[in-house]
Amino acid sequence: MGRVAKNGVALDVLDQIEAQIAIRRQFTVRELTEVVAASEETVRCHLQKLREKQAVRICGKSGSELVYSAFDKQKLVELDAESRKTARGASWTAMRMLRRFTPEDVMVAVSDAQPQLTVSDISSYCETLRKIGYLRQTTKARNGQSAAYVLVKNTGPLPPEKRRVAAVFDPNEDRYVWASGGAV
Amino acid sequence: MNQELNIGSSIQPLRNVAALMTLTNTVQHRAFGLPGIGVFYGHAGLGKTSAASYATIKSDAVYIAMQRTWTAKSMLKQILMEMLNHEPRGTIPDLANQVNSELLRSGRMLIIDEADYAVEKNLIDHIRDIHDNSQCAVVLIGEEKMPQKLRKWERFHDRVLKFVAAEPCDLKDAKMLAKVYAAGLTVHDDLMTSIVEQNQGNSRRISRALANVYAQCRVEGISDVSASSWGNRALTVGETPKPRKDL
Repeated sequence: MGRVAKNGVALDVLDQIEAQIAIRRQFTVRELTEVVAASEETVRCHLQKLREKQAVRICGKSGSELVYSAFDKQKLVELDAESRKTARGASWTAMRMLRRFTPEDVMVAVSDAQPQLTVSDISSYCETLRKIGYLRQTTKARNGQSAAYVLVKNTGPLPPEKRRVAAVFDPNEDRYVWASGGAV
Repeated sequence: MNQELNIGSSIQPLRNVAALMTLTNTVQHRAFGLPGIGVFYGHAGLGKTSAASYATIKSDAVYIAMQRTWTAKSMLKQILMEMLNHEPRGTIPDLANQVNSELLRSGRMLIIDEADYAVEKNLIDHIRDIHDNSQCAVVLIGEEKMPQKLRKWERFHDRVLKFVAAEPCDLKDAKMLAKVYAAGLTVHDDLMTSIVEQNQGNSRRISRALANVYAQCRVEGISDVSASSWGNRALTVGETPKPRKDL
């Protein structure tokens, strides 16, 4: 049997919860419960303890759920601003505003803030977003003209981005059964 | 008041972008006691939203585009979602307080596009409240008649520091757009002038026309194009067809 905390909850479960908190800007109890091997009650109790230690704070409400974060409000504002100012952040902002666009349209919008960005970089980001269903291609690229896209999933002001994550692949089921961050 | 713009190395801002940037600089860096509302207006297709995207990214502003169905609550919620990245809850006064405190704390400018809907839905006084209570700079973007429509709200109208009109693209703008939409192709001024005239200075249509010229030249292996080499081929893309008389 593995190590057990005073309340009878396995320590590795608590480690899982804290690992998830560490990689998230903000989260709800439901979001954590979906990605750790623990009940909603266990997650809620552990969050309460972390709140008492001031390691986690409530930063708002999403619908009827409380939103938590390990960062203080000022730090969150700074992190968000940093994220918006990256090449991806600027491109995502332009896409959300233009809604129907070509990579060149985005380029015109971001050229001053991100002078190092190229149309090719933006096209590549558009393709990433298309593959995950955030953009739909309305015109294919041909004769040197770029593809045109429409934004179909506007999830918010921070840019979705590719990340390398640890995952477990089960060849018996021929699928990924777990990934850090709850990607599966 | 002339203010210098920090111009990037790759593409210089189009004149509407420069006009909106000057307006945002004026309202953001206004003298103490002056109101901080600016209005950018003009006909559809002049590149107002495109200019707004440039200004939003450059100044890290909070941008919302109003919709016909929005109420005061949906407008306040949308502003908060842009700032907090989660859906807020509460009554209209609660949300208004949150908007004011978040804008006050962050010091970000608020850009409201499609502001004609705010006029139609009587939300202008809510926007005035946000401006008065948060002291943030607010820029409204709307159609050509926007300044006239705002006269109805005298207390709002009094707080407008500057009205700026969007202008059609000129030859210089078209040359700037060609650097992106027809990169590597030399487009002579005579053809560029025809593109601007036939598309009535509409930046979106000029961009599409340039992309079309670029694609055609690429197929033909041409790296240099003028009005004479282009000939009678169309310079407009997606034009509404004229009614057919022979049917």
